Amino acid sequence: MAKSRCASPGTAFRSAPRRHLAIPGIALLFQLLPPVLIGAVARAAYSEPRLLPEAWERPVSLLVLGFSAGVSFLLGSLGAYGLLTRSRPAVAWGLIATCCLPALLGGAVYLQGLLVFLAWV
Amino acid sequence: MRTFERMDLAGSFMKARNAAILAILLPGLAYALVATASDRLFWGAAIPPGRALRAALVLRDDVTPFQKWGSRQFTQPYLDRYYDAAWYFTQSDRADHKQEFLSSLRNALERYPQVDLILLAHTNRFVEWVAELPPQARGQLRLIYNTGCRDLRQGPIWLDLGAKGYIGHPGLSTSPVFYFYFLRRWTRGATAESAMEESNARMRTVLRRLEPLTLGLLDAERAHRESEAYCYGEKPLRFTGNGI
Repeated sequence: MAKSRCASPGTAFRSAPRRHLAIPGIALLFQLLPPVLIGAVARAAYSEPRLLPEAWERPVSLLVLGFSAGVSFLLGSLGAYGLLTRSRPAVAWGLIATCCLPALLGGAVYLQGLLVFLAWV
Repeated sequence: MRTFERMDLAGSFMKARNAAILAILLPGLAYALVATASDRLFWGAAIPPGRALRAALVLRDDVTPFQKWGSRQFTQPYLDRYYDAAWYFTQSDRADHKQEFLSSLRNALERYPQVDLILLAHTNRFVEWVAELPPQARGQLRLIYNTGCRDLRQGPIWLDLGAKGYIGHPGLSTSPVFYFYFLRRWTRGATAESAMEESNARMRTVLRRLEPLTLGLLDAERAHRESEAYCYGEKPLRFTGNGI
């Protein structure tokens, strides 16, 4: 029992820095997905023959926008939090500016798209 | 590796609580930036009175799947929310949906005193379709908005057909930008003229912002001159029908 307690923190210590550096990269890479998904929905809805039933077009579209906004915000925020708490200032601000902010702005665009498409704003 | 990790952790500069607050605020700040840059917000905008009197038809021409998708996803909620009845057609070729369109238009004109037409189509001659309806059936046509390039010249023809107002663009237009702003204002109860003027101004701002990003490919002033919408017909023409 005592041995495993000693081994555990060491393992966590090695993997944690990788994770906090990886999340901003994943957040940025994720931004490639929403345009692909939106393009796929559009093609499925307006290709001949139609692959996406008309009744599904709207819910699927809203779902894609909501999912894209939510995941972008989550990854952008988690990435920023990890960097702010675990990295040196230069590394943190650099990765926040290049990876987290684009992800957060992408999320904001998808959220605004969702709200406009719902005629709520 | 171990040395790097120790340095990385030892150099962290923000307490967890402060970092959490900042991480929670960041999405809100990003949204505020995007929302401010796109358009004013219409949170909780009420449905203007007279919904039961209004109907609309929208015709989207044959464009890319993405454009068809975007046009419909943007337009449909405004139709559903602010009109009592609405019909939306997406063409697969130039003659597509002619009979359904005319049949629905006739139906709308018989049942509603205010019928708006939104033509989301490149330079078009849908005016000839509508001209096929008998004159007495066209009396309830209200506003026609046509995105078509150079279709402003159709204004007098539409007025002759019975429309109360017509909005179009004089040249090679960036009408999607205009339409985004216009529909949001028109359906919230603005007069056609004020919605048009504000949308023209917003479009000009967007074009000016885009100009430096296109490295000289876009001439904002020229694009605006060709895209600036004009209105034919009665003023003020109001969404609620008052003031006609």
